[in-house]
Amino acid sequence: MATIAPRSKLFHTIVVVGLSTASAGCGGSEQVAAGKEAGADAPAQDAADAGAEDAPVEASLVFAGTDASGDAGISARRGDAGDAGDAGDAALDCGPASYPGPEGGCWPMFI
Amino acid sequence: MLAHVHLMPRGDPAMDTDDTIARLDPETRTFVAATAARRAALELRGAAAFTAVTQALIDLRADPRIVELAARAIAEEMDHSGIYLSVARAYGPGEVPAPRPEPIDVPAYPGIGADGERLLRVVGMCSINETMACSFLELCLDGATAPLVRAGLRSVLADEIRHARIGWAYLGSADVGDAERRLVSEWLLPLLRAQWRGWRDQIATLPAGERVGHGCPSGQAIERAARASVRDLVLPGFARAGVDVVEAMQWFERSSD
Repeated sequence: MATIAPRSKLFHTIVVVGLSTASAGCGGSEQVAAGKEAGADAPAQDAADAGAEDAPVEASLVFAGTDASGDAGISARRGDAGDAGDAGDAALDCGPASYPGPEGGCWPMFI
Repeated sequence: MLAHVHLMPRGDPAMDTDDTIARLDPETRTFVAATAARRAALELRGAAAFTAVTQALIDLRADPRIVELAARAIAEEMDHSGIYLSVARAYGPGEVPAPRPEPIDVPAYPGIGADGERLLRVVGMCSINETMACSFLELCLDGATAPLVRAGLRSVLADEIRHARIGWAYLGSADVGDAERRLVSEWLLPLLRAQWRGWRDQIATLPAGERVGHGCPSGQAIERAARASVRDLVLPGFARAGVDVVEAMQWFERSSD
């Protein structure tokens, strides 16, 4: 059975920060502003504004701490994507063609 | 006036010169140029997708700062197209024409009402697809050593992180309550399966081979990264957002045995 466990670094950078950006019960748009002022959006912005040095992007993906979900201890190395083999390399089942999923195609990918 | 519009406005000096390219074998230059040209066209489809996401967020009367992120994403996706076009032209032996934006088929979710469909569009494009895109870009950047490519990938990844956050931010906003979370729960598996099918189909179109140092990993590596993204980011993210992921996890686990 595959283990469903978040990768701390990218999980925090994308999901944890994202979910807290305008979290319920915290004032709606005011909370978004608070998040920005507190630097919640800073990593990605730093990376976007960065020059040729690698450090800002590395920093943008580093989660230097833990969150309430107990993400601590889960590997935060770059390249963890390669560890997908731990869950087996079998292809995910795409389902039969008649599977009642969304119509009109999927969202565009950039690979 | 159009003469003053630049497809690559970042002005990153590393994007201007890369002496290593001239020393590459012709096959590598052609491979990287073709890959970058393809991505330049695909990024424009991302711009089209974010027009739909932005409209959905406006119609949902979402937090204006989330709407702003989505609106900016339209231009940022076009910016990405320009970055990849610059890479293609730097590596390519010949002229690489600039792609033009085209309409796309936006996924429809029948029988759930207008606001439900808007919500699923935000979730499908941002929380799922853009989060998976971040893992893809992380893979590319992890292997890339060529300065021009690294500079471009870094810039694109920084934007895509924000684009993925749009979906998570909306899911975490006060506008999403129990009813909305139930809807996402019911649709999570169809959304994931459809998007995964799309990734697999697109991976199947990639040319054989890889040029890891130039940001072009193999199709197999991309698929592993996409799987890891679903396992480690997407599913845990929805669980954290209060969405029922049991059915989707069972699907993932069944496929991984």
